[in-house]
Amino acid sequence: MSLVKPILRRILYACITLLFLSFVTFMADEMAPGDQATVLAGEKATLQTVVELREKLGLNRPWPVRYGEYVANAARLDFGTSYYGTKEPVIEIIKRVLPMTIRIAFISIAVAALLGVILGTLAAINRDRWPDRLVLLGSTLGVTIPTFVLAPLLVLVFALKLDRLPMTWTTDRVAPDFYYLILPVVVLAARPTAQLTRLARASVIDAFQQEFVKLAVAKGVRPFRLITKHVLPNAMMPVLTALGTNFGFLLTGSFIVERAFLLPGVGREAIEAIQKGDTPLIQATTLVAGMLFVLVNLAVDLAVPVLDPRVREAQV
Amino acid sequence: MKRKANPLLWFGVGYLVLLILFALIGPYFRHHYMDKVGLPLLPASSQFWFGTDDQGRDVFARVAYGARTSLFVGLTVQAVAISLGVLVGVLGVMGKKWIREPLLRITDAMFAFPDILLAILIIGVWPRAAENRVVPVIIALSITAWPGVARLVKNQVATLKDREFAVAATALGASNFYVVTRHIMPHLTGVLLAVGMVDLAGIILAESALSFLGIGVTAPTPSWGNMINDARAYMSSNPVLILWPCLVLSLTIFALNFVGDALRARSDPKSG
Repeated sequence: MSLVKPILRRILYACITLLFLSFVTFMADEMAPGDQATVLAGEKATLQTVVELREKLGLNRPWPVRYGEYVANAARLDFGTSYYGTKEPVIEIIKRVLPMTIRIAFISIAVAALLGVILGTLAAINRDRWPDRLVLLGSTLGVTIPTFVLAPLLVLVFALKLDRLPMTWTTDRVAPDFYYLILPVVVLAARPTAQLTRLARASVIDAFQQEFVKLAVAKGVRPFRLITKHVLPNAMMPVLTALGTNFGFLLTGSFIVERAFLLPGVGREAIEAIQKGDTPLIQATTLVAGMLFVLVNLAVDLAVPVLDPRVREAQV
Repeated sequence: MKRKANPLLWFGVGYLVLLILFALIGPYFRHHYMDKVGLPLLPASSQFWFGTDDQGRDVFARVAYGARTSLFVGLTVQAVAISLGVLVGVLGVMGKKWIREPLLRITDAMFAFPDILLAILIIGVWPRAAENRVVPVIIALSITAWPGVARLVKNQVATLKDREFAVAATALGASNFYVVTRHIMPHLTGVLLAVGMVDLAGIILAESALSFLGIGVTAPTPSWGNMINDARAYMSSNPVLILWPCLVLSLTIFALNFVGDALRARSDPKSG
């Protein structure tokens, strides 16, 4: 297949990006004052003990050697152990918190994509009439209102005033998880939804100008069929590509949402690690979030030529 | 020519002027922003216009100081990001190959980090001795902000350098430096100003987000982000406390976006 080469090139590119991410996380620790030895030796340790410990841990070796080791370990999912608490292996912590982040992130991006396409199409069909204006106003609000303003406002209204939804995630949940995730997902999905709505609207308006759509209209294709069979398949490609970038906003949004709703996820763990100065955990959480971003973008880029014959032919 | 007055632009400009005044005199206007001047959690009154916070400090003065924090961080970061971005963007097109290629690669690579994740990492490993963390926040956000500017400048310069006036100047013997500073940069100021406004909103948001997360500007220095976070604890008893910083922050973001969009429509006749 002629598609093999561009796909391989794209995968190679993703690997290089991952290497770059690992390099930056490694260098961040290098540049920071203090290292594993000073932390393990404790505050009262003499310089002598620190130097000996550094020798024992191999921290004296030049950084390229240690970076190689860091990458090799990371590839085997060994991110070292946490500096504090029970000195748990970092990978165990990641395994515990990653599912929550993946859960809210993927539900949110799915909600955003679905709602964005529906609202965007509705707005485009009713261009310059009230549904369009309403959707545009809503999406402007959605793009500009900050996540950490929306979160407390919704909690104020739905949890405190109306008392319909739980304020935060707790360990003793009385209702199905679903109820506890409604507010976090709404907050997290708000900005991507708004952005995808705008994009879908522009893209559908664009598709309506195309010759084949005009032909379909002239042939008397029914409106519903016209939208679903002729317009949407052509209008969806920009939306699909934008999913990747929006996933990036969503990841940093998840840091805020996890903190606001006390969800045990990667973001909350990262913030706690930063507050304690737990470098291995900071590195691993950043790396994992970056990896998710790279993988989602890779998936999007691979899906585009599969779904769009025009791109497929252009790449041959 | 359609150049009718845009009400949103003037609302935005008016609001921003007020905000700057607010940031300049607000922190000391009625009460000092750090002083405990009344009972905790008082409602709004003629003495305390926005009420008092959990420690009895004047919320009006603190929100004003938050404006000062946001504007100071935002403008400093923007100054660094634009200088660096313009430099890299111009060199990325006009420079020799050995300087051009690595610069463009580095710029592209910076986009591998989702949103402000890189800033979170930089702040994460920063020594915690820093007092209120304003400096690490500025550095971290500057590092995250410049690639966007660089990419924009690179694309603009790449098209502008082949336009007749630039080619003509080169043909007349002008140096690259002269062409860039005298013929190309003047074309960029409009776009940079427009994009700069929208980006400023993004930087202020990022600073507030970091402060909300507890890793940006830390108490007792007020920032809208840490005020929102602190006020969450009193949301059931005193919900107004959280509304003030939320309101001022949201209006600021709106205003900057309005002004940026209006300026962009002006500087680029095609998109109007």
